[in-house]
Amino acid sequence: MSIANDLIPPQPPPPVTAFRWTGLRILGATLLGLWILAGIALVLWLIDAWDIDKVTTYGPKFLSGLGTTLTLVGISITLGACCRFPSPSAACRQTASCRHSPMAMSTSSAAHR
Amino acid sequence: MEPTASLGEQLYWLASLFDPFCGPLGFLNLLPDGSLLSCGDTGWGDEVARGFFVTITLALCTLPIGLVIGLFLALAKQTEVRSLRAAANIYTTIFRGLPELLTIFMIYFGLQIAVREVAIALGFERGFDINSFVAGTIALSLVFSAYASEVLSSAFKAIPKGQYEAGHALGLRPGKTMRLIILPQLVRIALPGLGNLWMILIKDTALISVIGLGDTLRQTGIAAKVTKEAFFFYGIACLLFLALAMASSVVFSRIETRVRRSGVSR
Repeated sequence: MSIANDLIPPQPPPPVTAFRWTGLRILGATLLGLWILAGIALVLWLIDAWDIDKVTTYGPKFLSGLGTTLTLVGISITLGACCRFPSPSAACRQTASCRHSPMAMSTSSAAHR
Repeated sequence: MEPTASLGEQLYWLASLFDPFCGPLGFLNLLPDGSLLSCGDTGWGDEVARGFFVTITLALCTLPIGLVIGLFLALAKQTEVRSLRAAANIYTTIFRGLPELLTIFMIYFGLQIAVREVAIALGFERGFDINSFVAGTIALSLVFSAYASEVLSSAFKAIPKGQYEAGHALGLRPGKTMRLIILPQLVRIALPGLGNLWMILIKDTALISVIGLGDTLRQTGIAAKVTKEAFFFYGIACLLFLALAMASSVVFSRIETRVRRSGVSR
């Protein structure tokens, strides 16, 4: 048996490994650069194609379309939730063979999509 | 068979020999002449059958491309390199966030413009037209790969780190570790999710009919408009899609039992 009488003295942190351009880093930078270029190109193109006539003509239609989308989503979520919540628990109570909780089932099926 | 027929036409002729709808042994030949679904010029059977094959071909062409891109995206999300992860996440965000219909339009019309510009810049007289099948394959591959990368990267996270370390301890190179140790387990974990995605892919092929591809939905839609028998023909389309879904669920459960047999239960 050996007993340590003194603690290990504090030591400096290990040296930081120098940044190196590996193949993966080059690939990542290239791809990210392409995305950034595409984003900038899209913004520039939108600025270039800016036309106040088109905006006044089609802008309100776009907004009402967006409103329709949001209304549809809202109604679907509400109705879907109303249809869904009572039924699984009732089925569980009747058959007593419900292995998953309804929440766990819904999250797992969502993860598969 | 004309001697001047192109390779595609020859392949099509060869495939039509085995056509279960209107081929030499097709069951639609049993229908009386002049019925709505009979083959040839009188009925719509051969048009609908051709659309059905286009649907299957489109889904089967999309699957491998989407899986390969999805696998590389999932690998990119696993790396330590931050820029690569960011690039992969941007891809997933874009193609999961856009509606499929919009992606299809963007590819069909946008790629058309891009290809024309590139072709003219390279000195061709006029651009090439991208046909709707190619555009549909590309668009669906983009969407499929974005979803598949999420399924695959969550499957990667389910594999313990010790599996990689075991491969390293055995002296295997990273590529070999991936191929021999990680991928077989990955397939087992990811298969139910990928089966789900395949079902969604089959349904999404119906969207390609909006850019003029003569798939099941478009052919039955034309037949419905011409004959004014909308319910009948859309019902046929429903049956065809249901048959596809049932056949693929049978295939998937076979693959799953096969893959599970080779695995050790943990």
